Amino acid sequence: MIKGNSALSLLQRVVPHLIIVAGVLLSLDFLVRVGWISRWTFPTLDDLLRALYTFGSNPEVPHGFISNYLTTLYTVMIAFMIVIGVGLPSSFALVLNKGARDVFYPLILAFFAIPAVILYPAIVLLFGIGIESKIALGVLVGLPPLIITTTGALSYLNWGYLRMARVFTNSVSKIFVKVAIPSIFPILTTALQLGLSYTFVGVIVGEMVASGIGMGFLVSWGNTTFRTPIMYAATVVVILTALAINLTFSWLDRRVRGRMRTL
Amino acid sequence: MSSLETRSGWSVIRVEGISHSYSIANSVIDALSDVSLEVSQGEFFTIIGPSGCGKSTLLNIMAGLIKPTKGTVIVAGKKVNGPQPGTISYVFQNPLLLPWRTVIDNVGLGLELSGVKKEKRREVAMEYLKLVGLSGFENMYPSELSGGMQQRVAIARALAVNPEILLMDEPFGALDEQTRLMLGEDLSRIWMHSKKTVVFVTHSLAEAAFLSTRVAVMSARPGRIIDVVDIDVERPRDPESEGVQKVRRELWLKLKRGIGK
Amino acid sequence: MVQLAIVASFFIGWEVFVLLRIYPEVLLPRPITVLNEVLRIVTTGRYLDHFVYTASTFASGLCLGSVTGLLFGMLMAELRYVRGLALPYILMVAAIPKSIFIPIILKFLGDVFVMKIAYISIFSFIFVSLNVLSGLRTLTADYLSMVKTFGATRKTQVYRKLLWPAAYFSFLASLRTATLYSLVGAIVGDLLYSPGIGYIVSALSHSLRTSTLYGVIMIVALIAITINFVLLRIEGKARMKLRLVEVTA
Repeated sequence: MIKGNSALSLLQRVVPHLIIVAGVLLSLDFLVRVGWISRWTFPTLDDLLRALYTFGSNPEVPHGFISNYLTTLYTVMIAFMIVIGVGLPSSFALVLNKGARDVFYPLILAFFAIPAVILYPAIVLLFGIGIESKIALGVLVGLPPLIITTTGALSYLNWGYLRMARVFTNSVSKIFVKVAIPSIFPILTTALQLGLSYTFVGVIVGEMVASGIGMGFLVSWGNTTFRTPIMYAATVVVILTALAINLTFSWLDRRVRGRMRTL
Repeated sequence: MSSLETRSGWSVIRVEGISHSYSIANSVIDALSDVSLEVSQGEFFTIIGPSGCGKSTLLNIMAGLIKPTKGTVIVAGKKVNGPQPGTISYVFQNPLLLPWRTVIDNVGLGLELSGVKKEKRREVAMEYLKLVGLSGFENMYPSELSGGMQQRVAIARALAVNPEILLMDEPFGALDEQTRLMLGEDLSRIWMHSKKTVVFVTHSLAEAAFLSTRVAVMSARPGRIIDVVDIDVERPRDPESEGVQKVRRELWLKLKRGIGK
Repeated sequence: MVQLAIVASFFIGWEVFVLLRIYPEVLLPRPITVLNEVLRIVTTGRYLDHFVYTASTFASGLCLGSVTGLLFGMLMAELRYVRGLALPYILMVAAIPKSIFIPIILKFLGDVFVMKIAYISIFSFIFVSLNVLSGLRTLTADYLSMVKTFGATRKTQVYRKLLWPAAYFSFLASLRTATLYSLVGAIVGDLLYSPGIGYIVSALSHSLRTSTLYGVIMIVALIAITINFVLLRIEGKARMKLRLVEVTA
């Protein structure tokens, strides 16, 4: 086993998985061509690749692929900003204020147990089938994990650091920004990552169930119109996007952790 | 005074020419270099040395948890090839109590693994809980106890199997000073009462001076025995007394020389 | 208690909001009407067959996923190459919106009921296996050394006294969240494919029977809150039995 961070060791970890994925795809492709798996269940590999390749220029795709993709990204972005805007301050308020915590925590615990998706049909009635309902669902699905993990992360706040900083300054906001936040940065990034992932989930579910546009819609549309290659192509795009988001956070996380060695 | 020979009593532990190296990342670390010792029955034998000198490694080898690259350890006449439950007990720096078991069930773990029946186990465990001063805590869970109390449970657990030898690897290292002092006194009392052979690793010179009959001073890595010091102070000892302080100073001098080497 | 006051004021606020006629009452009914509907649904057992359907997909998926998750988590903790091989995929699927797999699963399995069970079990499998793996891995080499000094050299003893309890309590500690995720999965499955509670909710919204719609939502909410409450105790006890680090001395 080649250890260490060299490019060679990275390859050694990635190659087996590339082989596995390629193997599975090729086997599926073979089974489709031979007729053991119907073409409605899985496309041949070249059909799938062609669907991916021509996704952008495919005239069959309602609104065109790019509109769908950008709509999803845009929806997620707005929903996530609301999630952060509401979630972070609430989490801080909950942790720092014992009164607020005692009152609201049990309520929040109960409320977060409710599956947000059950509210979706009502949301569609109130917000319409447009982007607003997906934003709403994204927020409802992404907010609970963000608050739960952020409040959990804040419990790791090292009061020692804060008292130390208090010796040097009276400014609460300075202590906050320069000491408190950095000290829990790694855990905070995990909370943000979780929040974003779930916001993305909420938006996609909303698009799959009731929407005229978006990547979730495309998967659903590809499915109901028997355009199997397009359905899988859309799925692949969603998967890759989700992974890209995750990898970015992991990379961020590693860079931050490097500088937090003292912890 | 220094002595590399045994005192009265027969030698129950013989460490002969132990050397140990291991590889980590891409380099080889020489942890121990030709260490030899003899420990007599009933002694409180302490090993001190700078951080990283290999004293924990040495203790692990004596316990049979690590196979040394060279040399042998002979305990109670038999060569050590692996852990010797019932003969050698080990107390770690981390109490390592099973968090899902109550205190009494933790103390009884060693007995349980030797096949002792439930009623007898409970009886013996309660006895040892009393010995470490934790009667009344038997139905609590480890997470409800303080660090010092957890370590007492660990000690009770190690003693409950009635071993000939008790190996202790910086058992009080993670505790605050007050707890260390209290546990140190308790350990001394327990040792005098049970007459076990104890091999104790610590980086605290005060502990070494207070607790031990003899102290082996190790050099920095690769660890060698620089000297073995007899502690002649009468018991029960007062950690503040001039005698103990004098020993501490002597140990410190020897230690410094060892680091310098 | 203050919380009751907050909940009460939520309903009062709702009532006021409806009275303000920002939305037509057909879209957002009054709380009184909704609560009436809740009573009606519960007493007449109106959608019982759908509730039973969803409950069965939910329960089957949860059991299937969590038990296999427990076993696989233990396997991954034990065999390094299984972990190296499978863990990346588990983590990957965990990061992806799993609802996009629903059409694919249905295509391959053919049956809607089976598809839902499979889809739901993904949630509990991922969560439980990751938790069990993590729980077992916090038992560092130290614990293994410790039990060895007491004579647990044979694998079966190490297993029974150390590995299994750790895995089991990690499993229990993850059960509540796995249940909540599985519930979400059950509803999402129903929203896309009939029958089930999700389907009912969807159909009610299409036919604008909003008071019934909100009634069903409330019932589901209450069920979820109750399940959560019950499982909190189990999770709390299991978590306590896994706490390795002591609180201050």
